[in-house]
Amino acid sequence: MRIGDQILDGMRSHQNGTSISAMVDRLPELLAAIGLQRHVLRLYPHELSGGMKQRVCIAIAISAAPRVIIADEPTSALDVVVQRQIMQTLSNVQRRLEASILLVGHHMGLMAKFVDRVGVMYGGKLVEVGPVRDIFTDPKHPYTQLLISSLPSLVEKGTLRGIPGAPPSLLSPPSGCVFHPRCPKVMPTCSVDVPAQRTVGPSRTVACHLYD
Amino acid sequence: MTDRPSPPHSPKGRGSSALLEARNVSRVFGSGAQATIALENFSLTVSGETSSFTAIAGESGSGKTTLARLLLGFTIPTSGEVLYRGKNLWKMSRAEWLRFRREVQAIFQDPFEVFNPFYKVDHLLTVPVAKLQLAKTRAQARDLIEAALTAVGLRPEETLGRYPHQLSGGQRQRITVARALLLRPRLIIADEPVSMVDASLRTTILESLKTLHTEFGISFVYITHDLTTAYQICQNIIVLYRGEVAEVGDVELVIKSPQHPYSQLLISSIPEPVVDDRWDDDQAPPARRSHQAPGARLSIRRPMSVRHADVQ
Repeated sequence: MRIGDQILDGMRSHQNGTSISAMVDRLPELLAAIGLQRHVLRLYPHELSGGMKQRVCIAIAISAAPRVIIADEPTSALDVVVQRQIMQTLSNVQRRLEASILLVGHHMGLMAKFVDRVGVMYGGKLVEVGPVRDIFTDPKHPYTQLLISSLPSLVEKGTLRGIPGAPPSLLSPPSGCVFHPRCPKVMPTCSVDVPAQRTVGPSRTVACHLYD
Repeated sequence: MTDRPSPPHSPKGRGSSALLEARNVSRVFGSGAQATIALENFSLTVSGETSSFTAIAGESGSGKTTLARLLLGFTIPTSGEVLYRGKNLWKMSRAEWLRFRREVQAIFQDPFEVFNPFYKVDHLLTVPVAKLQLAKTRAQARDLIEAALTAVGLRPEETLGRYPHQLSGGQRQRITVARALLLRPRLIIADEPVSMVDASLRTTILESLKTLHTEFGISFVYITHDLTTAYQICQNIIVLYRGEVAEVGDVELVIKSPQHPYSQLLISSIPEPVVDDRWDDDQAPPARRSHQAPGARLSIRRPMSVRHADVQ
């Protein structure tokens, strides 16, 4: 199916009141929003690069003027240059629609550059929530601290540090805090009690016994 | 300068000591107006005497994977030649080919595609042992396999006898690293080995590659689009841009003061975990290259910059 038809397909199933010609008239505007040229509408997916395809996906997502866009690892298959373009496209589109974006991903660097608020998940639970600046300048949960410091740095060599151990099995999760088998600051209580979410600052919560 | 291992490129004439050498290799896909130049006039030497850790960096479509396939003898060059111990890969005898297959190993990007879901993961490890006759007895084969798994941080008793779907992506990727190690290769060509692995495990796998380099003296050609990991584990870097070499040199120099506009763009696009320099209100035109067909090249090209290396 050609790109134009793919975008129309989504619009047809979600906008019952609108005529097809009115939808077709909107296509150039959608393409402009994602920074693609009009001739792309007549192309097939295999003729597009990975970055262009991902932009088309954004066009499909915004064709119904959503209030919330859930983006699950939208750039993990793309290289850094295209990643930056896609993320900028997303945030331009977000401002234009005044929508909210829920960005799901594991790249903390990307989070630092684009999001307002971060929730860190581990083993199926939120372990820490807070404004992006606070999370990066003063991470509270040991997992958040390790996640940030495990990012390979471009400034200093020899700073490559992994998080020891493996992600928990969700079929038989560890007792108490799910992170305790890998936690450098583990205490006796961690393997017994499940830590509750505690408020540790303005719009900041953390689930860790260190802050009990 | 003196304690730094020699760069992977050696001037012509010392070619006889090279383990693997690419000489002016080009690869074109298709023909006529449809032709795409995936790689143009590329040269690289991996020394047989000192071990090296070289990064090949570039965006998708820059010819990285084509290069890996050419170096591994999966794809035949359109022009130029790939030499293993001075012999053209495509003119080797069966015995030489077997030796090449043993000494030059590959790790690929996708830890899911490498495995056949119908076989236990042991299969991936026992086949090369049998094919290349590495062990005389079953017990010896088992010892070899267990040693290789331990070297990459896996516990053999938890790994062997399982099916691929019972292991995580990180564990599977480590098995492919163990497989490469099993054959005691001189060179491992790793094509995006960590791009599909979770962030917390990425570092662990890179650490095990680094250990193989320092402890066993294995040379690496590390193909990636991630300059941060290249900076952390490599000595030298080659930046590819649309099939051509944009910049070559010591990784410290190239990352800290990139000369080619494309290397500069690549480095400035890395999201460092610093909140102060936000990108969300960045008004840079997002679709600079979108009008170009894949494979078409950017018209602003500058002379390639070469540092600490001789590239023909």
